[in-house]
Amino acid sequence: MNNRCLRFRVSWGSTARTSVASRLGCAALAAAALALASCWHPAFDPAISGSEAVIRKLGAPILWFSVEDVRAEESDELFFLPNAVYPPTVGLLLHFEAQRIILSAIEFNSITHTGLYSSNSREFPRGLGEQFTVLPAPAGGSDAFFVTGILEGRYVHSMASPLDTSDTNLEIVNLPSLPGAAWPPTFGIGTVAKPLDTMARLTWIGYESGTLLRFYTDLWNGGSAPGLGPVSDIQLPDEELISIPGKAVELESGHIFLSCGLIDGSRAIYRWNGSSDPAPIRFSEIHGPLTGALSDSRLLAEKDGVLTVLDNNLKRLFSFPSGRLRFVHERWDGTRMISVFSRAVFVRTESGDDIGRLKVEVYEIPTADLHKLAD
Amino acid sequence: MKKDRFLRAAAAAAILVLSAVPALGDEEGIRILVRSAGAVGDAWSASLVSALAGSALLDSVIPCPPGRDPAELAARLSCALAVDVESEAPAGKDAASRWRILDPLTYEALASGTITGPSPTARELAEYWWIPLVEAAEAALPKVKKTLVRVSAAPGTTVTGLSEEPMVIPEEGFLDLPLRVPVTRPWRAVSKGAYPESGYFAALEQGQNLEIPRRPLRLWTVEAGLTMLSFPEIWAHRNFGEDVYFIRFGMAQYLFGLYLVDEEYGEETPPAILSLPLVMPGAGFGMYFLPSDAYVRPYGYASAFARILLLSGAFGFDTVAPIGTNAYLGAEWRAFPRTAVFFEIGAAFYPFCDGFLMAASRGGQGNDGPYINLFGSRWFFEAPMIRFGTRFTL
Repeated sequence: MNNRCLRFRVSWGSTARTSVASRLGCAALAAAALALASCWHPAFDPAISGSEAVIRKLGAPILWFSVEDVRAEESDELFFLPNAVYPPTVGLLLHFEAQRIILSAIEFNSITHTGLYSSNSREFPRGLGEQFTVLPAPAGGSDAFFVTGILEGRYVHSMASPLDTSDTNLEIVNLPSLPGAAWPPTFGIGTVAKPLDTMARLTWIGYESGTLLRFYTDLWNGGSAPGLGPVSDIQLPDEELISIPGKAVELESGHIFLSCGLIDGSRAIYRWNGSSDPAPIRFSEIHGPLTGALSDSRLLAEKDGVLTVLDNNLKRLFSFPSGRLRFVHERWDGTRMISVFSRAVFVRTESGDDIGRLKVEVYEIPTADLHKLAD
Repeated sequence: MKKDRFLRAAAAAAILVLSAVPALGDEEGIRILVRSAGAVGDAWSASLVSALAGSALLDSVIPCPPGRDPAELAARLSCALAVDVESEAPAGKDAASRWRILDPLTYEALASGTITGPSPTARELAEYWWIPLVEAAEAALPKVKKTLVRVSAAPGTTVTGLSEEPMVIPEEGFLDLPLRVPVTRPWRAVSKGAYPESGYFAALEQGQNLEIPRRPLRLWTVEAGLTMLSFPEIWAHRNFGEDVYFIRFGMAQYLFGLYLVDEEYGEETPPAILSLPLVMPGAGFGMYFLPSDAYVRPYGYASAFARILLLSGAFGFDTVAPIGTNAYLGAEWRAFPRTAVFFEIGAAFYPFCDGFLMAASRGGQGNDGPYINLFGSRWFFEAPMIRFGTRFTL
């Protein structure tokens, strides 16, 4: 991605007549102009400008810092995961590439607004495609959980500890699928904060073994690796259509949602009224795939950089252009639920190298005020 | 005899040199044609040619071949004067040279006379004999060396090329210009509120009229451009200050554009059509560095523009960079009377912006290309920017 400019070659004949040389000169000039233009991208990114417009409504960040000498590319998808306290004290940088997720530790100073990037990073296959599930410990510790693929996740004992290759800080958390389970073993996984509490509900839907479709859920607040306890079988008449895993959440209202891809290339959202509901309702992803859920039983969907808040009937409530601004999680501050967003933006500063500066910002807004972002 | 041979040779050489001059180059020099006749030796003719050639007012002297009418031949050869001399030197009597100076166009004898005296020696012929004739020819020259042509144009039009100094057409709408004919001269006329006119005036006869047209300036131009050969945009120009300065206003946009990049292994190739929700209305001021009849007309301008975000939920000024400025140097080639093709190169500067986010907004554009991207906390600069397109004069 460093240099994807069109390349042209113009051959010059040594015995070319002046008119031929002139034509070649014009051709070379035109080719040079085209090549020059082909390297160029407007200094405009709707994902950045959209997020900036929303950030103006969010107010000052609760945390921001810059990190030098980060290795990335401007086009990369970066995500900063802070721990669930005010203000955040530790965090991880997740760097999403097409086929892998790179996990890097970042130390930061919230007073000097500077950070230190650890080149000691870990890579994981990006098994869930565009979807990812990541959650800092809801109780506010420095531990976190994230799903790396369709078979397993990682529990991070401490986001403050440097990542190493010994896995002492990254504990494998196996998802419920057992060997021999049908494909894909995971249909969806996700989390949602429990209202008025420092807990989050993890939800998993997939094949436990063979073609036995199961629904798992658990409450987790950190301190140790999350465990998923079996709840029940779950009925999905379209189960053979599922091909790409996505997001699964169980709302406080009892509704269970699965947003996933189908074998025909389309996508769908299924809603159960409860795990025993034998006939989930299928919806189209009009506003994009589900990317999360809120403690007040609202859902989040994202499409083309626009985050839409839906009710549990998948009716659109409001939208705002989140762009690079990512919803991270909700936290309970003792009086109300707070929605936390982060934005990580990278700019290359070294010519010819992918070394640059990373700027991280973390914002908060009461969940009940989210609609103000759409005003 | 020896002296005669010398004079003959000298005369022949002078004739050859003098007659060769017009052919070599200065077709508009003042030429004179000479016929020397009479029962005298060639020395008389040679000395006459030499005497006339010595005049500072004459550029060349052409001998008239025997049997030709000097006035008629002088007209054909665009000579200013024709001199016809009949000399005799009878033995024992005074010599006499009867001369006439003729206007080639009218055959009118402008002057005439007779030089008489004792038969001159060769030295006297060369140095003294022809002095009255040379003086008469020089005196007659102003009467015929220029003829009048008429130049008609709008009053106030300044015409150059037809005279030593630029001339201004008076209220009458024409000017009679003394100009020797036949002649062909390039001319250029400039008048207020009109396009410059130019051409070649082939003045073949006296009294010929050069009618200079006047095309009023068309002040409005519509421009269809392509920024970085990718994004179409449209601008209008309003020229003023005699077509030297212009203001421009219009809109650039990223809603539709071409984005051609190489395929790269492991990378998803972006679509060739790029659509980004941003329009940039703006206005600018510029000036041309050459008049509108220049083959290629260079110019420069600077613009300021707003960045309007067309994003649901964030419609309005782009808060990352609400405004931008740019400056271009360009050249315009008028392919057709009312259609010009242009090419521009310049730079863009964004003040009052978030420079870091602007740099990040380039979407992975390589730093190793021929670009300069600089930014500070509140500004962003990028160069070079190129544009090309077509301007249509309304």
